[in-house]
Amino acid sequence: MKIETRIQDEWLALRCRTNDPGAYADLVARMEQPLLYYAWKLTGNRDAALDVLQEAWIQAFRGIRKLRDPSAIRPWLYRIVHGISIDYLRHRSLESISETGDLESCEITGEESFTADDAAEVHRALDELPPAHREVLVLFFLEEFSIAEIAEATGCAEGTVKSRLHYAKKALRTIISRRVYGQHA
Amino acid sequence: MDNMHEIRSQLLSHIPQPENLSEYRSRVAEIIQRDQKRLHVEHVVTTLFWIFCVVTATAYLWFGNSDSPLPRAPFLACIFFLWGGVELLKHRIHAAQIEIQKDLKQLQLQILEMKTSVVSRDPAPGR
Repeated sequence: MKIETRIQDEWLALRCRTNDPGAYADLVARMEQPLLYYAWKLTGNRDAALDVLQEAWIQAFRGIRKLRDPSAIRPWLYRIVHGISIDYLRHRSLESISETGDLESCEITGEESFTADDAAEVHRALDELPPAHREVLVLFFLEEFSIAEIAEATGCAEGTVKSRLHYAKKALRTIISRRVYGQHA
Repeated sequence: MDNMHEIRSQLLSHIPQPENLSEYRSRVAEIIQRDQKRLHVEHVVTTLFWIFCVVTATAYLWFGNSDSPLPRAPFLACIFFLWGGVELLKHRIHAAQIEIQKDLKQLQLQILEMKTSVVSRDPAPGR
């Protein structure tokens, strides 16, 4: 995460804690779009994403005064959305967000990289990934979160996040290549 | 980093406009308003509680039975006064710390903005 973003977030969190006029509205305006995208990708339903986000704001406003580290407000908000989305999925008895054990013990080798030209394909291909992989990739692309921050947002161990991110990038690249190859064939 | 920023903005541009977006916005505005109200009520209740404590302690001191061999009431009142004073002081210090942190962050942001504007004005200072 960029240093400017972190400082702006911290300042906003402190403004919310001191109950500055308009601070809550500013927080909503700043975080609404990425959180909505995250909730949408997790739930797979845009209307459900709005419900999740609404519930997330209620929990965030209640808990923001107890937030120990104001600079960690962004991962903290993602964690709230993550929790509510998981509850939603469980309630709907849809996909399980759990991961298979073999992924966690794998070695990390080369890294896949993506360019701005891939963005539209990335957006489409995300839906084809399992939820656990989709989630870490959304956080990676949207917020440039570090492994530790993704772990904090998703409530997973850092090693788990590392392997998920690695395999998710690989899978994403495969899906994109398949599509591009399919189009050209 | 710019590449990632570009990907981010392109991904966010795909967010659909759900039908119930306006309803959601009005509900969020309502949540914010309700939360502000709750904080205000909490503040009023806490202030009233403090006033009640002070009045009760003063009454204990004033009307307490000083002829008693064990002056329990004034002693308790003094304890409560001290305790209340310490809590109040702690609260003030904490609030001041947050205010200072806030000002500091604002200053840092201003410095960063200035730095960015200087860099964008003079991208290659060595030349």
